[in-house]
Amino acid sequence: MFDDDFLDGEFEGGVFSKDIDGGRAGASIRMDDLGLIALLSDGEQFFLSYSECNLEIGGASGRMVFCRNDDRSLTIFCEDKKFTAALERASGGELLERLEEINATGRRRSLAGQFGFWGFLVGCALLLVGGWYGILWGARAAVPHVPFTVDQQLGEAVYEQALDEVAQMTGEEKVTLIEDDAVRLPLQKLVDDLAVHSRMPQVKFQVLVCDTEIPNAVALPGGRMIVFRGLIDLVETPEELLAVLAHEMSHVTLRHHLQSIGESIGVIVALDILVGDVGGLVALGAEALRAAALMSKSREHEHEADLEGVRMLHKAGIDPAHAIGMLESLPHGDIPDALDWLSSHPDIEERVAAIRKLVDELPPRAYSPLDFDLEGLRAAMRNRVVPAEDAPENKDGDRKKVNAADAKPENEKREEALAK
Amino acid sequence: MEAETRNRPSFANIKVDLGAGDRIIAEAGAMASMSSSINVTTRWNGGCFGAFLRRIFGGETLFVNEFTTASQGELVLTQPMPGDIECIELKGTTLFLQPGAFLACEPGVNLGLGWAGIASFVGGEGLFRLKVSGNGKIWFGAYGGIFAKEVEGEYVVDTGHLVAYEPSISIRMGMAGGIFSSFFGGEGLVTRVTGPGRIYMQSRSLDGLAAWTNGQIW
Ligand SMILES: [Zn+2]
Repeated sequence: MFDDDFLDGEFEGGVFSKDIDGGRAGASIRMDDLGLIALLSDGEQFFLSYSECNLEIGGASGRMVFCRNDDRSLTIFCEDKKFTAALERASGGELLERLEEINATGRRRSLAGQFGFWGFLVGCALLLVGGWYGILWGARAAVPHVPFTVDQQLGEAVYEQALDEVAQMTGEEKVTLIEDDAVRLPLQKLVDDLAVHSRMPQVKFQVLVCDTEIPNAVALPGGRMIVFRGLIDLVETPEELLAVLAHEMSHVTLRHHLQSIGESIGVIVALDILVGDVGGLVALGAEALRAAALMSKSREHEHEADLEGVRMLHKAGIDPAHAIGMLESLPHGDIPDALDWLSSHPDIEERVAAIRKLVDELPPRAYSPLDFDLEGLRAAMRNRVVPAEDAPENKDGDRKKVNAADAKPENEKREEALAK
Repeated sequence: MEAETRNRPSFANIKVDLGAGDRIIAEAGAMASMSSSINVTTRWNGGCFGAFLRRIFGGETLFVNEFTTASQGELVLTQPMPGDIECIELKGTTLFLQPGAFLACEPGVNLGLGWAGIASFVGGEGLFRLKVSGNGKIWFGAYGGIFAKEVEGEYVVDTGHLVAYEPSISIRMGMAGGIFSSFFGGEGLVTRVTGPGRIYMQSRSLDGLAAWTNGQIW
């Protein structure tokens, strides 16, 4: 026989017959003008003429077509969607009436099956979304019940790692902390004075200053804050500096780090329930927890910290509009991702709008300028006393003066920082 | 490759003798013992995403292990449940397995996940079923003994007893009798299967065991 004798090509299907070892085999099915031919992979052939063929529809999908002889000793079956149409043409109308019934049944079942499947998909999507918001809500609801000492311990635990990450931002091996009292104490006082207006006035903030050019500030859970030299160089007014510090302090008092950890735990638990043997995923999860503890960066958290910062400034009698000025003066795009105050904020316009809206809603009050000697702080940073490194013999107080920032004029450095 | 199912039916396990060039793929955790000459490669059970789908909906493990050897060696595969293990040779045919039943297969076998339908879910048989097709042997396990039945016309199986079936079998959920006998006769929902085709059943059901155990505790 030649291929020309067959109409509409081949279909994947199978055969039931007692003549096959095991009673069944997969087959490719062809049609000629007399009947169906099933060809097994071992070369064996089965023939069923159209006149002998009793058609049935069924199977697990509900759409499998069976062609069976009268004593049911031979069955050729196929699930291909085009099979019935080909059979209709090949059999020359002999099976027409029965085929129409079968097609109608097939379509009905196909619809019912699709309905179930799409219903399931929609259900899954709803469950996923619901589960995600459930986790967010659960983490938020749980945080107030956790004592603040947990935040402090967490901050202690991630402190070294945080310093390492700061160092990585600039490619340095180790962060240089500026421990000079002339630099640290004014900032500490600035933060302490603002802290009494925070939502958790009992929190003791500890300011650390690092000798890093990038304009940034990072708050660790529990109240430690790392202020970067680059931020002090960048701000135009002391109020702008305070606005950034207020935002960072708000991350602490709103306990965003703990919330992020709660969310990560929720996701891990959900995965465990869903997937079961998470095994290696737990290690991944632990990594996620540490990352979450260090830097909470969801838009939601940034937004909340902005608003809480504005409230604190307002309470302290400082014009919160400075927070807007700080945001707007930022160069857009190309902002290093790791920075908190600047990070994950392609939506700076959105943030500015939200802050502006809150500023307008706040009860009017008289604002006073912030009494802070920014130039003095910068001078102290430039002329600070740095303990001579790797010189233990000098520990009896022999310190040498280092000009920390080299002799560039202040405005030039600011432009450099902005260009980053 | 030579494979023998031993200690049937209660504590069945498969002893496989691998020669150079032979390969067998088994569920993660199925290996009970093996010669030191056998190499194990672990991979996702059908890609990362597919593996998660199969894990969540098909009751399979996230990973599968592939066993090979450069010389020869033996390997013993087992399943967590006390019960029989059945070996089927696929010849271009397809078989549907209930979630969790799959144990091992030869390389010519394709594993897929198929939608089983809401009715199957209501009947406690799972929304999805594992679809094995192609050419080669597959092994699947069950709780208790495994028995096969050629079904022509309709046949009734209690829910939780159906382990595997051919795609030519249609599955419907129904009540065992009238409402009274269904709920007070202890049969409740049953699976109505319609042939032609073959089904594989397990002589015990895990749901039955769970119910019995709960009954002893309270
Ligand atoms: Zn922030």
